[in-house]
Formats: sequence, C-alpha cells, structure tokens
Amino acid sequence: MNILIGDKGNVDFDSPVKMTDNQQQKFIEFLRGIFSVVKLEKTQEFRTERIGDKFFMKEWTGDEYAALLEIEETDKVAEMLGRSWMSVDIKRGGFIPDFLAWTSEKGKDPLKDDVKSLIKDFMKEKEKELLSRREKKKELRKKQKEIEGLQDELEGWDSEKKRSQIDLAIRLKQVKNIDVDEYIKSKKKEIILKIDKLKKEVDSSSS
Amino acid sequence: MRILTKNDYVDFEAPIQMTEEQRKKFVSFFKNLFVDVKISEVKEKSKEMGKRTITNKDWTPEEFSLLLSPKTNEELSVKTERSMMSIKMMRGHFVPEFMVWAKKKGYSLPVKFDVIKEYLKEQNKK
Repeated sequence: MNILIGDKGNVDFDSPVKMTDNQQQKFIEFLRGIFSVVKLEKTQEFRTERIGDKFFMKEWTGDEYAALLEIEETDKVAEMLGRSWMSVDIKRGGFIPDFLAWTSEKGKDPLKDDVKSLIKDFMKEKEKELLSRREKKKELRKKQKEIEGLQDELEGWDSEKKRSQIDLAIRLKQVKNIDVDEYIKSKKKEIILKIDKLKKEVDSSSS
Repeated sequence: MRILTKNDYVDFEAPIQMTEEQRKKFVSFFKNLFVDVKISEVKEKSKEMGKRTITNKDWTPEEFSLLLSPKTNEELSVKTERSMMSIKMMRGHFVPEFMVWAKKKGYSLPVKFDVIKEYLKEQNKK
C-alpha cells in the first residue's frame, strides 16, 4: 500500500486499501483515537482522483457542525476534525451567528450554561435544515451534470457523423420524411429548451 | 470525517488534514498493520494560502463587539461595510477564541464593551 503525504498537511491513500474485518475495526478505532468525528459508510464506488489531482471539498456531517460550536480554538477544532484551519474558520463564521442568535432567543449563555447540552438541542433543531440543504445541493449538482450532458449532446448534433446517421435513418424510413437540417435543427431546439429550463431551475434554487 | 467501505476495501471520502503528530501516528499504525507500506510525498492542489496570517489592525473594538452579537453576517456586512467573506472569516476566528478566553475568565454573555477591550489588550490586538 502507498500512503500519499501532501505538502499542505493532507494525507491520502493512492487507492482504496484492502483490509480484513479485524483490520478495518482496528483502523476505525485508531482514527477515533486521534479524531473526534469518524463516520463509517458503505459506498457504491470509490473516488478515482487522489491528493494532488484536484482540490477536494468535503461535506460537513451533523457531528462536525456540532464540534464547530465547542468552545475551543480554531487549531484545536481543525485537529479534532482533520480539516484545515481555513475551512474551520469559514464554516464557523457561517454557523456561529445562528447559534448565538438561537442561544440569545432562548435566553441561554454558552459561557455559563452546559454548552454540550445547548449544542445538542440546537443541532436537533438544525438537523432538519442541514438535511434539506444537503438534499438541495445534491439536486443542484445533479441538474448541473444534466446540463453538461445536454451541452455535449448539443455539440454532437453538429458532427458529420451525426449528419450521416440521420441521413441514413431518413433513407431507411426510420425517421419520418424530413430534411436532415430541419431534423437536426428541431432536435437542437429541444435540447436548448431543456438546458434553459434546467438553468432556470439551478438559478432559482441557488439564489 | 467519512470513511467509505465496499466489500473488503476501505478509503477516505477525501484526503484528511493531519498535524505532524497525527501523521506520524498514522504512518506508524499502518506500518504495524501491513508489511509493505510505501510513503510518497505529493504536491497538493489547494486553494489555501499556507500559514494563517490574520491582521486585525483595521478592526475596531466596536466591530469586534458586533461580531459577538446575534446579528446575521449580512447585517454586519452592511453595518461595517465589509465583505461577507471578511465578516465570516473574522467571526469564525474571533468568536470562538474570545469565548475560550472569556470562559476562562468567568465572564457571561452578553459581555460589556470593556471586556472586549480587555481581551484585545491581552491579545495585543489593539
């Protein structure tokens, strides 16, 4: 096995690692000893890109959000979560105001009251919101991929190969008697309409 | 962090940021678990700028005090005429650090303005 160590402090494997059940268990226990939030999930496929191939964005789990609210310095939280200080600062900056507003509304003081139980109550209320935000993001990514696919399809209609295929289909009467250009134009129009519709949906859900 | 599994295979959802100490423990753990462990150094693609150098010189104690309020980032951005990102980053950094300090000192929220000044003085920020 090959462990990849990045120049900015990230660590990765060069490919998924084969482990026995016992090794997997030891691995998870080990990680839980050095990080505070470790979640094990089954997957359908592993990523192909590795450290150095691209900049990785990691989704935040509910437990990680809760850790952001702990009264701890940034470096400590970053170390607990295996994330960079910058990602912790930015995420905290987006999340802490909500927590402060919530505690103020409830008449609670995170400095004096039991902060762990405050976080638990706050997260309970927030969990639904986080889930729906995650779903929305997933849906958005799906639509963006769909747009990319349609744009590729649109370009494909300009190729000579496609023209010959349509020409053949018309001659074989697989497509109703129509001019090749007209057929391509109508197909492209259909795709453009689909793209426009999806773009509008993406714009309205991202605003 | 998410650890993904499929059949007998295990992987990280994405690379994990580790301190030097965590990295040493990680490598040593794998060297104990497997016979053949190779280590390769890689140049990362990153949007980050390396070591943190946050300068607070332009932030006034009044603005720091606003960061502790329950106001939204949008409201503070308008009030201070600063960008949302700048509010977000300073808030994410300042509020928890201040709370660690204030908890140690036994203060409660909302704190008086003098307490913020005391913190800034102690941190040599103002």
